[in-house]
Amino acid sequence: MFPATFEYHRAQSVKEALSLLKRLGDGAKLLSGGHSLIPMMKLRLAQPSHLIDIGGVRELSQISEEGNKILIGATVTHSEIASSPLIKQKLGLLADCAAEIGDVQVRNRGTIGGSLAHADPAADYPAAVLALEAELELESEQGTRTVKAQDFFVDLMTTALRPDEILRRVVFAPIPQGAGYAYLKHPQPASGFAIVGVAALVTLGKDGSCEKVRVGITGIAPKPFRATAVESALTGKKPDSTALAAAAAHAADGVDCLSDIHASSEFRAELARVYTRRALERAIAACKP
Amino acid sequence: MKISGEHLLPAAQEQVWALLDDPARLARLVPGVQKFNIVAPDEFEGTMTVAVAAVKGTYTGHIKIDEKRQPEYYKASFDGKGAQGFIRGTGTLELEPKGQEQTLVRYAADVQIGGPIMQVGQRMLESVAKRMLNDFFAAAETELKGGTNQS
Amino acid sequence: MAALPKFIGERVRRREDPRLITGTGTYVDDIKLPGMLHAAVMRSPYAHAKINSVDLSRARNHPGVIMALSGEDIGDKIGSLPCVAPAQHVPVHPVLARGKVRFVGEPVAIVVAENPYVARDAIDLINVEFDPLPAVVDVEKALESGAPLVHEEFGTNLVTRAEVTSPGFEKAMAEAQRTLKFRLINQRLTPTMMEPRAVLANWERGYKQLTLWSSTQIPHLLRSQLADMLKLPENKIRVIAPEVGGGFGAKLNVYPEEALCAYLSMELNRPVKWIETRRENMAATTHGRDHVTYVEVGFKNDGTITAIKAKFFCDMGAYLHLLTPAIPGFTGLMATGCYKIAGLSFEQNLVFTNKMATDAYRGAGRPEATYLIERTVDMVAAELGMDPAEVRRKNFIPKDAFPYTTPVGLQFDSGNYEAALDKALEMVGYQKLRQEQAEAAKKGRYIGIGLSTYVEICGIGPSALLPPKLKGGGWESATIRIEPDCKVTVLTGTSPHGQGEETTFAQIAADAFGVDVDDVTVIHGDTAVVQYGIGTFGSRTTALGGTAVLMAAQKLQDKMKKIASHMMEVPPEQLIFTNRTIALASDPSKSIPLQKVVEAAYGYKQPIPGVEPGLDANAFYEPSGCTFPFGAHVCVVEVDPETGVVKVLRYVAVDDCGKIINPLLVDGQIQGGIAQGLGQALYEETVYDENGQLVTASLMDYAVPKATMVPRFELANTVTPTHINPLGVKGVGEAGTIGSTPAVVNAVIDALKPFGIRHLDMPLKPEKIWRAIQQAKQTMKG
Ligand SMILES: Cc1cc2nc3c(=O)[nH]c(=O)nc-3n(C[C@H](O)[C@H](O)[C@H](O)COP(=O)(O)OP(=O)(O)OC[C@H]3O[C@@H](n4cnc5c(N)ncnc54)[C@H](O)[C@@H]3O)c2cc1C
Repeated sequence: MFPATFEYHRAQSVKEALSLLKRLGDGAKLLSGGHSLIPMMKLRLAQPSHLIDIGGVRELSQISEEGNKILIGATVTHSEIASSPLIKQKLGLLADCAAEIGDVQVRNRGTIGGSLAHADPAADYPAAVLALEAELELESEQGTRTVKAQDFFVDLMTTALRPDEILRRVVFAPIPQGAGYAYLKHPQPASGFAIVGVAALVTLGKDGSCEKVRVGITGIAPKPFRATAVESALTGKKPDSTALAAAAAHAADGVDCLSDIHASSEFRAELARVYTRRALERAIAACKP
Repeated sequence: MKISGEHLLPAAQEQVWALLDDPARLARLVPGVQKFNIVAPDEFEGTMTVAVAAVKGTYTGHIKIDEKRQPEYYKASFDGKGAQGFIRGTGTLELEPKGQEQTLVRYAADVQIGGPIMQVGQRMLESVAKRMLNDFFAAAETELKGGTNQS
Repeated sequence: MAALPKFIGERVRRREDPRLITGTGTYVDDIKLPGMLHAAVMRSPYAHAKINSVDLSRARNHPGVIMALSGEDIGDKIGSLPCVAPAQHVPVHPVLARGKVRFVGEPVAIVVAENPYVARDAIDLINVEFDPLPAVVDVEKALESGAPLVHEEFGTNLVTRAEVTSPGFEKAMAEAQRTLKFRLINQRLTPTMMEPRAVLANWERGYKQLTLWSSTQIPHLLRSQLADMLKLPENKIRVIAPEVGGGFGAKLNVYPEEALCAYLSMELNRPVKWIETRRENMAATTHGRDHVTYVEVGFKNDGTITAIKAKFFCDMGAYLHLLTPAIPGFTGLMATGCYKIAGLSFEQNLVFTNKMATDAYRGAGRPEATYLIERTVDMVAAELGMDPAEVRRKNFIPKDAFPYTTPVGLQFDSGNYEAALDKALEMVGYQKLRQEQAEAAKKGRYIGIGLSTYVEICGIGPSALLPPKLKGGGWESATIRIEPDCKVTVLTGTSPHGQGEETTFAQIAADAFGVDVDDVTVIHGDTAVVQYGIGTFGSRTTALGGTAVLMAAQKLQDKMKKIASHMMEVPPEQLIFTNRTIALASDPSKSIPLQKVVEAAYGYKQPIPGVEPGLDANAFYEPSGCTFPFGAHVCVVEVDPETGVVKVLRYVAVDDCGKIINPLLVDGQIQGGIAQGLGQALYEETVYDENGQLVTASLMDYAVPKATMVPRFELANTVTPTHINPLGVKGVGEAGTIGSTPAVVNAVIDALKPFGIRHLDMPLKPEKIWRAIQQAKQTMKG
């Protein structure tokens, strides 16, 4: 499979990438790990005339801790996230989620920035990024703005990113001590992407009731979303099996579910409910009072 | 692929009909339309670009109105093709007045899609179609509101 | 020096692996010739359409494009693609569509350019006016009156109807106390070999000779067919199958691109290469299976099955490829499986549809037969409330009944079906497992145990069993040369493409001459180097090709013994080959180094009466009959009732392929085979939509099982040699696929028994199972 002709530019800095992006305009695409963009180019569904490779931009490839924030650069790979001691310790949900993506080769090349910017409705990261209430730093020549994960995903493969912007890094607050979490995925058997992926994060109060519940769901709808109906149904409740089942029953409320040869919209909705309940069960079991 | 749904537009039935019966005006509301020509009464040709993220395709197409019952029903057939595939099918629109100010538009289409876009994008096509419809109705709403103000 | 071991029966590591693993083997795409051009094919996006016009002008004017041709440009310059199997209606099968396209992916035009990028660019510049026609995609509806016709000239979509009824069928059916009727779907599959097809053609003008590298299973048969299509003498075509990355039967064929590249190279006097993309591979390389079958089984209250009647609708696709209409034949003939069933009657309807052609795919007709009979046995067991193992025992052909003639006249060579089942049940701990299943059920867990006892047919021969037009029979060839330095060269007419015969044939030769396996080199896949041979398919290679190696070795042994006898002054009958010597059987210390004998043969300084110089011999081996490997597979699954997800907990397989040359390779074949069979049971399905659009057109949608999706296999063998060939070997290339699919399905259905579910069609996807459970719950409530 051979892509159409394009020009390749290797940016050394974010600044250079931004100026290239502005100069080259509509026909230019950023290239990160290439594991979403290149396949589409080989199929000739995407035919950008310029690729701006940000793979070599140092400032985008760091994981760091600043104050009470963990910052992950856009070109940090899935395998780096899955194996980083810092992330495993403080953002275990994200590390678990990264470990579920694709296979070894995909995880070695694919990047968090590329995955989020691409916004495939079946990608894994968005579930965790939503549950963790991350913020995304978007930079253009006009400056930097910060967008909440919830506002970042707009529609099928459409995000808040403007054509002249780069997703620079993703900012997380560490998971509180004692909180429990789980990422559960029903993979599509061919692609390995999520038919349903549910990220759950739960903090229990002193009395054992759910103090804070966050549920991010990917795979079932044109865009990933936070299952706020599930969250509010469980918040303040003792997480017994009745309460969990009742809350999880709202997982697909109001969602216009996707449908394909692998799962109908009806089945996707059902899987969302089952996986949400199970993810919550696991998260709660993992809570340390 | 079968797509159907309904949308409530904020204008009287005649106004909505007038909009739908004015191809040139209509074409401006369809996202991505680049060229539009009337080749015969009730027969049109054009080019449109459909873009979803990095996936972009330009399609050249042909639309023919097969049946028209003013001010409530409209049936058309269409076909278009581009390097990434083809699209063919028929669609109907029904307009039902909801009081003086509103009209319910019911749409149904039976669409056949082929080529690469179908073969590798099947899981997304329905969502893309729905999004385009939503964009179209949003534009129609704006147009109708604007239209109401003017008249 | 330590004595050399015997190699047959040893787990000798595959000698081909180091180069494959380190990427130092040579596949077609690794070959680069000076001046080489690249071809790309424009394919139909429609399942069925009239071609009004093909405009190549923009493509031709594109810089870097050398030539672009449509079907009309080719005209009759390239003959029809061959179908050698008999059928009532065999359509002309042009290399590029003419007048009409009949399936998505059908080649419409070809472009040759300086590089593959430009060739691909030019495809988008071709303008074809298609007039879409309604497509026929359902194999049963295709036969209804008024259905669109794939080939108008026949006035029907029926390719052929074949009916076979065994003598005494009516009586056998009448003896049944009960009958069951049901419908089974054996879905269409995409073979998905690792390496898609690949062709490189080089016409050497000065020599008037064509060399064609192709990723094929059948270099010689391909040469013969190309000679016909291109009107060239066979000795002016050299076909080379270099490293071939799998085929699974789909490369047992002749494809348009092979003839087109050859033709273009002849036209342009430059080498032309075409490498299939994965998407082309999914759409335009033959598919497998695709039967709808109506089964009626007659049986007695004690579980004895008396008769089977089956009506098949077999989807051939739009054209008939090399053996397309022959494949379902095996299904009908093998439908009684390993059971002594008195009556068999079947009707096969082979049908044209607007899809890619089906043809051989690992198992080729036998997986369909095994699925039919093994599901049937389980249906009977469920109906009678009997243990499926008991129903099997009740019906097995007893071990003292061999050679056994089936109701439709097949001769089974040897077998001991109960022994294989006993061993498998013992390995899995069957009784205990059934108890655990019952315990689990009480806790709301759905465990299922599935059995499959299969027999299959392979090593097909004698030649009378194969279609005459194949230009190749049920035999195989080998040449052995002992080189002046005492190394052994084996030339086999088979064409291994991953199976490992470079290792097993070396074992056979090494033992024959008492040399090390590393002293032997096996050469295959080059028609200019190797004598005519048939190829690798139908699990025939070791049984036929291996025997040919043995026979050639024996001829050479005789000659070498004569020489040694002369040198040692002992009668040749008293000599044996051992440890790189020829020795006296009664006293191996009296020996002469092999090297000395070789020197005598080549040096030829003192002529030995009645012995020609040189050391090479060849043999063509044709068996008197086919071989029938068998086995018993047990699969244990758990079904998640909330999601319909099937988890395979255990998989035990006992396979009997006769004598084993290399247990390591047998295990490998079985493992890969089971993975593929399990793929059919749970994941794989080639989907066309109602308009004939291919939906599973990439590996993003066609679900091949990955390493993480298959369980750890617990493997064992029983060994029941065959008398058909002197090696006593049967064949194992397809057995795993044949045996496994029904074992998995039977396990899932067994797990769903509490819901009253008797059958679900493959693939057993979570949603299908979930829906069946939902429905069952409704019914139970209501
Ligand atoms: C075989 C295979 C299996 C896979 N399985 C899974 C799976 O199970 N789950 C899953 O979630 N994903 C899966 N993926 C996708 C994989 O995770 C991709 O790596 C990821 O989606 C994209 O990241 P990338 O770095 O490769 O991005 P690229 O392909 O380089 O870019 C993707 C898009 O994002 C844009 N982009 C990239 N970086 C930025 C940035 N910093 N700012 C703005 N825009 C940017 C690009 O312009 C492009 O449009 C799979 C991919 C493959 C090939």
